[in-house]
Amino acid sequence: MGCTLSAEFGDENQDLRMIYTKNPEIIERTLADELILVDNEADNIFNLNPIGTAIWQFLQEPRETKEIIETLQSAFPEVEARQIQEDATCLLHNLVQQGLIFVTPR
Amino acid sequence: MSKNRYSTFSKHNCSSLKFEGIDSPVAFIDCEELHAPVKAIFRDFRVEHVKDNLWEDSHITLRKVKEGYERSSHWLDEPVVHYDPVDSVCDLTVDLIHAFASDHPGFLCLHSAAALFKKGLFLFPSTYRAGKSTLSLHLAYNGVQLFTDDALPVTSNNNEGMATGLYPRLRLPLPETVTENFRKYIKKRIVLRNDRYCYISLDQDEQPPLGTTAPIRGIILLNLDLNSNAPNLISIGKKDAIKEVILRNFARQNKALDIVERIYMIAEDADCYKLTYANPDRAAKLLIKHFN
Repeated sequence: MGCTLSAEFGDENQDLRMIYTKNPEIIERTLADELILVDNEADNIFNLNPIGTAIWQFLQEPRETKEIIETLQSAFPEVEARQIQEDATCLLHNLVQQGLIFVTPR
Repeated sequence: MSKNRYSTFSKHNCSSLKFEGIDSPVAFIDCEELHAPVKAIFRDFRVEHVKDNLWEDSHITLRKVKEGYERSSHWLDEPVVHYDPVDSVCDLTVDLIHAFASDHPGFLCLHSAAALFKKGLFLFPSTYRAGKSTLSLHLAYNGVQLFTDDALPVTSNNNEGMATGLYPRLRLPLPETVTENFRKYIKKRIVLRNDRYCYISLDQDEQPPLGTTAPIRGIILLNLDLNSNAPNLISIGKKDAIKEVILRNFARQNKALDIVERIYMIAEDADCYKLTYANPDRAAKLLIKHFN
């Protein structure tokens, strides 16, 4: 999808040390193995698929990109590491764009 | 939102129609010939001529232009032009439903067909090309009351579906799968048509009057698969139904959380299914067997 962290922040090593934090204003509703996220301020509704839901739940506390990717890799060892990195960075990028999570340098 | 862009109509003929339940009259500039087709497709909305309406007060304006009929409204980013008067009227109904939702705070408005079986009101949420109008008319043809074939208001106080009294619309030509008897049924009831669409009149036994409400008892996702054989109705989890209904709500005046909570409540009380079908008549009969 061409959605890489380095495109967003510039340096891949630095990107891996970025810290992601949930926006505390976002309201979650469970939908089987997925989540509905509600930004009631902006009146937006989002749906996370099961992988996105897993990442979201992993963000119960602030996490580094590297930590998120490593956790996904151990959960899905059959999936190519590069694929996981791309998918995770793309999702994180989208979550940041939508204001659902915040990103700060370490 | 686009702004009506005309500043004066001193040289133009401005007439307006006020629709029951919608605050702002619709302004027709130099196109009074559209009044009759508009009135023809609203069986129950009381539509009245408004004298001395200031076009600036209208949230929807239609104007005759060289290329056809131009419509601007609060729900369009840009004015749209239709060459054909029937297309123009078809598209106007979208804005009228938006206006209705806007004037009834708290209502949801779902892009969905809805039919009243003995087991209650069942929704068929979907966008275009899922065959919901054709299936809707087959349900009516087979004796099921049709609330709507396209847009369903949902009441604010108890999440019930509400009939609009707007006649259903079929895309033309009719699919090859429909029977000769159904074609005759449709042909007798056409109230407005062009090459692409026709509106079908139904009486109050077939389509309840505007304002009739009923609790929502089922959500059926449509899967029109022309390669399928016999229609197949399977029970599904709430997940896909909730996602589909959230996507199909186009009333945006409610807070996002209210929309989500209410759609969860609707799904909680509803049985959820997926209907895969090719032949709308057989599909309608299968639904009647299950829910009547």
